[in-house]
Amino acid sequence: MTRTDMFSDTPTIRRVGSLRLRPEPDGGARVVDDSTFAAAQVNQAARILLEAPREPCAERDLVTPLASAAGCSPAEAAAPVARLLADLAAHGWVESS
Amino acid sequence: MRDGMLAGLGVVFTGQEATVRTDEPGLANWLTVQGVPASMFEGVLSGREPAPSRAVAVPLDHGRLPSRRVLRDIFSRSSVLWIPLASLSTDPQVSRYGLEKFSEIDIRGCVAANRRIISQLRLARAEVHMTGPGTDLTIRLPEQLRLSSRTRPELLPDEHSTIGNYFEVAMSPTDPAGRVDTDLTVSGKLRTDSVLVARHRELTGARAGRFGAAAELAEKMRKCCPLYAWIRGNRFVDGFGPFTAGIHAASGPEYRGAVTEVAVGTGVLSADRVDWSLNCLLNEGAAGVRLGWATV
Repeated sequence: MTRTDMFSDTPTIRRVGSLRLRPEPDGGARVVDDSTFAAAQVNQAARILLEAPREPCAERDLVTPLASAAGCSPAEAAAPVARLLADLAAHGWVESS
Repeated sequence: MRDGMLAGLGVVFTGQEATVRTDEPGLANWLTVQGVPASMFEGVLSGREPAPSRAVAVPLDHGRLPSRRVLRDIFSRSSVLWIPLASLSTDPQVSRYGLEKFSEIDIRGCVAANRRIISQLRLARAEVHMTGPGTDLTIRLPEQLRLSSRTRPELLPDEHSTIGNYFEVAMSPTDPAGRVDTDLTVSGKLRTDSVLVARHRELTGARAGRFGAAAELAEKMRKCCPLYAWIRGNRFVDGFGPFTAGIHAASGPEYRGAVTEVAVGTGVLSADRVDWSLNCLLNEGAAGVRLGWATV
């Protein structure tokens, strides 16, 4: 399996429609979910993932910008992205179809 | 009208049937002919009928009904949506217009809009701007923001709610004693497309007597709309020209032009479906910005 085969190309991940973001000067964001009114401060990595398009996108589309922001390779970013997506899904802020 | 009304009530009462109760026989008959279950308050008030589990209360004349406290007690075990048309107009034609508008509004959409606006206000930094044709308002927000709005479409089994809360997110820069908030402030220019006057049913004495004059003044102002008002630090300072003295007289000396309410309307209706010439409760929540300067 090549490095490029590590990430799914199938668009399945989407940010939920009820999420509102405000970018913060430190690169993170303030987040409010208007379906629950839960609010949080998130770091830059989470902001990058949450700013992904509202339409379903592929995992590759999320790994690449995060790797670029972190200054590492996509392969090195894969596991952290997967963990972060799991966290965000647990909050109900991203969903997979 | 029937389908929209029943759809809206279905959202509020989670699909269970609710009856409209009113004090105006003509309105009850009109609704019944339209296919909307309706009857008079009188049956419940006299004790001949038990209070229904779910009701839409549409008073047209508060003078015909017991006090709010008594009504609340009678309907204490009921789930009630209050549409107090009487607060703005006792005219049966206006009441029919109001209920027709209610039937055209997407209740779930309004509540969803309320939630979005609340979230945006929570995300805002020190201030928000509301702009549109002829309107440019800056609202400075306090650290603790108090909002009035409905964030859940469905009523609980013994819950009462007024229709206005469904169609707006409201803030109050001035308290009932006329004290202006220095933390929540509104300034800028507002294009005024209509002027509405509401009467609190429990208002008595000299203030209650001002409603008639205020209503006449509002009707004159509506005919001159759009008007362009200037607000500075929660006070209307310019723009109403010959109407200014009348506004101050109607509002009462304790207010001195103070802005008592800032609200964003979410009861979205097509512009061509709104009759801005009417003093109607349902026009209050039509999409846009509403500033209030006193409650009479």
